[in-house]
Amino acid sequence: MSPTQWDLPVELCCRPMAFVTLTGLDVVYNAVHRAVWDAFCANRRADRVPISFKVLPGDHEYPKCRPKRTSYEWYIPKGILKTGWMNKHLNLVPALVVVFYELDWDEPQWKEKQSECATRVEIVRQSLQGRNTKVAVVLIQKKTPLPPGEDVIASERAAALCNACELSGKSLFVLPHTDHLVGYIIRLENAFYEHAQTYYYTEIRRVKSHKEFLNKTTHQLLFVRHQFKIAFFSELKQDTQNALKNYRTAYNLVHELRAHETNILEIKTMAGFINYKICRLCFQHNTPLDAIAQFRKHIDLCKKKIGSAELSFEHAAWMSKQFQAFGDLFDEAIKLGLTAIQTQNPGFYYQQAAYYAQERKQLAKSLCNHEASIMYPNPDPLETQTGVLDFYGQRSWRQGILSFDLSDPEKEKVGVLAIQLKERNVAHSEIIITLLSNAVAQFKKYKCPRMKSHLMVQMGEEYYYAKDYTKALKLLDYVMCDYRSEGWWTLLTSILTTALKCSYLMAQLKDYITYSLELLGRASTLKDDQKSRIEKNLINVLMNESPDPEPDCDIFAVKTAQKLWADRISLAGSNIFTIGVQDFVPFVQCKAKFHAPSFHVDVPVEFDIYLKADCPHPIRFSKLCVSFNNQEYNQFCVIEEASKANEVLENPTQGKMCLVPGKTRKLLFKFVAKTEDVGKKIEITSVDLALGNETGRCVVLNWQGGGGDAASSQEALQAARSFKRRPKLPDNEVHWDSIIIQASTMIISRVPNISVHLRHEPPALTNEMYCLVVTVQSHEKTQIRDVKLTAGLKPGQDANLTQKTHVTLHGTELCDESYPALLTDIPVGDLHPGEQLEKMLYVRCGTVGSRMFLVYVSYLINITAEEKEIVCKCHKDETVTIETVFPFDVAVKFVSTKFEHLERVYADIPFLLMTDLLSASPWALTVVSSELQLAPSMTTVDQLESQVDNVVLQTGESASECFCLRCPSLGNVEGGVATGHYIISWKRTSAMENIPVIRTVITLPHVIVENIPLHVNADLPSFGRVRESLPVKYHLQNKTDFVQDVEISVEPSDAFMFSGLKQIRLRILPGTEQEMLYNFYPLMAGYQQLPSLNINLLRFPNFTNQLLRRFIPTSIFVKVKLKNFLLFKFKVLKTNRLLFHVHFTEQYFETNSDSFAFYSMYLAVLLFISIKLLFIESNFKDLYFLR
Amino acid sequence: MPLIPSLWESKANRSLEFSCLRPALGAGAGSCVTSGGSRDAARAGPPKLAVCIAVIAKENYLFYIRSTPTENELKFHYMVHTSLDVVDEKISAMAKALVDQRELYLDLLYPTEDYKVYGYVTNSKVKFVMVVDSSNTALRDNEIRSMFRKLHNSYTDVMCNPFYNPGDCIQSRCAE
Repeated sequence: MSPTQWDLPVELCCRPMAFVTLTGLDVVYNAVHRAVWDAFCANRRADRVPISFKVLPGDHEYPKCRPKRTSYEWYIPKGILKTGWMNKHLNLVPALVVVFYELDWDEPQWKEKQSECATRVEIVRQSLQGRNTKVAVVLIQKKTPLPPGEDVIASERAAALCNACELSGKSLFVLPHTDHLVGYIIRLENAFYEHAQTYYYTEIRRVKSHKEFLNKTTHQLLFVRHQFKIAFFSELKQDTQNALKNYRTAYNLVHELRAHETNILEIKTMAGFINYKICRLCFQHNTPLDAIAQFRKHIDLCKKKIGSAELSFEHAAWMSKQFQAFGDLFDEAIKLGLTAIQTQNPGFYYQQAAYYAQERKQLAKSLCNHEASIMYPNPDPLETQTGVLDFYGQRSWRQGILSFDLSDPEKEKVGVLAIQLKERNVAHSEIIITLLSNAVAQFKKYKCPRMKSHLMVQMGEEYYYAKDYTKALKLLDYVMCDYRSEGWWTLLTSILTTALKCSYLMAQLKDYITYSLELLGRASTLKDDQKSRIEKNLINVLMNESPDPEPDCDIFAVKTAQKLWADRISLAGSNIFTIGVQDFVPFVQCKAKFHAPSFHVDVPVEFDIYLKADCPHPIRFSKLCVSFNNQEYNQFCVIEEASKANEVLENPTQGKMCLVPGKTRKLLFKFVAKTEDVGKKIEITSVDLALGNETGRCVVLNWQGGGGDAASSQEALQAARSFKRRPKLPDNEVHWDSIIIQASTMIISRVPNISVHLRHEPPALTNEMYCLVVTVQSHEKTQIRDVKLTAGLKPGQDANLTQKTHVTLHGTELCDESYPALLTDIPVGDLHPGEQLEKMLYVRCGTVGSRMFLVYVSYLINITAEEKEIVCKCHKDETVTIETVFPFDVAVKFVSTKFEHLERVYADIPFLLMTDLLSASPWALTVVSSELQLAPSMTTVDQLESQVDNVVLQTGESASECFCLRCPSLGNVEGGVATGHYIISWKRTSAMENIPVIRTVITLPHVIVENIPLHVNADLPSFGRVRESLPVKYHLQNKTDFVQDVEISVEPSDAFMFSGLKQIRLRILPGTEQEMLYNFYPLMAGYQQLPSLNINLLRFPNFTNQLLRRFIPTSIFVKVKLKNFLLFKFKVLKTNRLLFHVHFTEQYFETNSDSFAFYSMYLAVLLFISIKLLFIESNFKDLYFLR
Repeated sequence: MPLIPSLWESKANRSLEFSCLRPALGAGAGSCVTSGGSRDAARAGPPKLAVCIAVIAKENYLFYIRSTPTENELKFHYMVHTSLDVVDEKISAMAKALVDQRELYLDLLYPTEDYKVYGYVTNSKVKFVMVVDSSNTALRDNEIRSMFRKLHNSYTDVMCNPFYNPGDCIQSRCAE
């Protein structure tokens, strides 16, 4: 009985292929034969027919065929299936024997050769006596044969040879040994395949023919056997559909057999074989669901067929094998392209196989616990004569006995004992672990991380049982974090307990301590007594003693472990273990919390470390140290309690470092931050808590950051979500859940105790030296040193602003581009308490818009904090936004000497330039002076002196100037002629004397200059008087280089009589001037049209009277003498029946009259008109009254 | 003075509420958890409904678990835990479906030799897992569904209890 008796036989698991033997080939010494053989067996890919070939000598003895049974009447079968049967038909009994023979058709000694060939065939036939095996002859020929029918000799000799060998023509083949050997071989092989199929067909028929002789009572076993054989032959025939059908029938027949304790193993074995075949074929037919269904049915049918209770482990072993075999089949099908899913993959079958293997182990453990004195029986009842069993699944000591009664109970007992003793030597754990690792690989593939973890736990436990603690620990440690992260504490505790045992048995100090820490912690679901035991052990270990053994450990293993522990104690070496807690849940929790998110540098930084123990007994720690990102602070935050090793548990309630279970301990730390750390973050990088002391063993628990372990983030989340009201606690105690870790704080500078004021008059005006007065007053209690002022444009604004803003401390001179936008660190000196200083700052803004200005005052002060003298740097800053505006708007226009607007000016003819300066500043402006800088093309008519010197302009007021200019003819200039610049010098009226004056230069617009042929100007008084002579002189100037013919006429006017030339035609020489004198005599008062002068230039028809009107006046004001006349002009604006609103539109009077007389008369007339009009009922528009 | 009576009143109300809720809670969870939920029912001998029942939080930690053969609790813990693989997979496949077409019942998660594991997920991703004996053929899909629905209802009752703290493990009286 081999240990692999449960493995399925190879001949069952392989794919059955037709068996063909080749004889007459000398593959060792004959190169041609060797080549033929190689062609048969090399490259057997799927596209070649499924045949298994074997070279045998021609006189090979094939297994003898038993004489045919004529009647089954007295035949009683001894078992279901002989162990050799499958192998016999796969490898021993051929379907076809091929005789190779070298013979060419034109062989000279044909006769001899022919008879030799016939003899060879005969020998083969002899050894196959009674079998239906086919025989075929292959002639190896050197020559390429002619096409069939052409070679007469060949066909004759072929027929003769067939005759001699008693072969049909179909069984004779020719293999020419030429270049195309492989092609011929493939054709041959196909022919062989057909023969083989015929052979298996007849075999099936033969087996079927037995059926009619069988009866149901005695030949039950034969039904199964025959059915199995038919199916197997079908498979050899490659008829898988029929094979499957027959296997199914066979499977049903197996379960119809009468089962008894004695033959149950045989039945199960056969059922397992047939089931395997069915599942295999189903997968092959790509019907995996059928395979699964068959397997399920198989398991359901066989699960309860345990058989002998003493050997029940055999059943478990068989079950395990069933699952494993199916898993293998499934996996193989997947490799061939089947797709499995998460819930249906081979992993489940391997898992189940592992489960049965575990059961087998359990059963074996309970059934095979014989005492060591019991010897293995001699003679071995499991030995058979041949070394193998005759039938599958029978007991070696009672082979072929079908009776259900045990004929020899003694023999049976010995046999069972032998099996049990053998089972004891089986390496169960190895089997289980292999199966589990198969399953793990599958579940990994099908996205089942938790299943994988579970199986790995089982593997770890199995390694533990197998005493391979290193591997066990490795596996358990690997999966622990999965359970921890999902918070399945029960499972974690169970894993930890196993891990603790492993580490104990190996005396692995660090692991032992780590697992103890976690098992004592809140994640563990152990009972208190267990926890107490572990805590006691832990303390023993820390005091450099051996712990008590873990319960349920193997006694021998414990003995070894105790020795290991003893060695550990004597072994000198590092006894300090640092354990990072972020990956597990220890029994002490730690939280660090700074009192504030930021501290001023002059105040000590304070923080609390909260500790809480979850173990059952109070525990004393030896040291607590806190590490910071700036390690200089580490020294201030250490608590060390010198205590002897044995005091860990004593005086439990005293001392700072003694934790009472469930109570939160708060430890306050304080230190003064360094001034270099101002503006930096102080972070707690780790908290180290030491348990035990350095003389014994010491464990340092290391929390990264401000505390917290693997479970605390989840707990914090829950606590945040919770709305549970917490019971009130005494003052100095806090709820653990309500403590929120704050592991970092900012160090910020001391609060300044000075005031900074800014005084100025916004808005700023473009380009002026804008004055900003900064007042700094100290409110500190001691003197402040090194006061420095930084002022100017606040950095970080538009880059253009920096270019156009300049700051200086000296307002007496205008600053230029070289001045900076920000003045930094202007030393101001020291300030005594209460002292105040003022600093003037001048800003020049080149562009309009708003700017932010920064005034930053820094100083040093000596401070005592926690009895330490430190120098603090304080600073205060003020920002102010200042708008910059234009101080004034300048408008420029060109007008004619008649103050008419000019689009263009005429060459050589005087015109006026009018400037208008409108103040836009909210503050009063002083225009110091103005200056007109003319372009070279312009000339002035009179002096260009400023008319607005020292004028003060309030908001909205304007100052205008008027200059009379002339532009000589320049020809046609594109875009006009430059006029020049207008320069205004100004300052704020409020500005001090020494503040420089600002010059603002305004570029005057260009004008278009045009030439005219004739210029006319009139010389006439500013007004006329009724019935007094009014002399008018017209000057006509020829501006061209030609002689001009001029027609002049004067049109009469109603308001004037005149004397002079009414119509004249004259000639003016180039550059000369002609005078025309008229004497006008006004007839009416008021604004009167002058008699119009019409000039017609014969050479220049464009020269119209329209143009002329620009130069000469068209009307004149004519006055009256007051003594005689008073003229009123009324306009009736609105009338109705009762009242007329009368409005004076114009009035004319002589200024030299007595004003009082005039007014009284005027009022009287007004009254008279009002009264008079009351009675007029008609509408009238204009009235002129003359009196 | 008027403050004191009102204080009294509210206290009285609260205790009343509490006592009303307790039985509802116990009966709800208990009736469908197992027959062991009420010992009288166990004696009367109705067929066992489920061998193990578990309520699992969105973050996959246990809210509540109870199994009838208490001696092998660990096995059921593992079974429920491993079934979460399938639940996760089903949920992620379901996430693509429209919200209102979502089916809460997840069907059979996976069969083992001896047990069948069924799953159910609420809209807030709280999972219910039920382990049923494979041999118990009386339980068909419909029964399982209705059991889950009952369980869901009693879970909702627990959540509605103002004294329940979300995230805590569920303490059912029948579990004691």
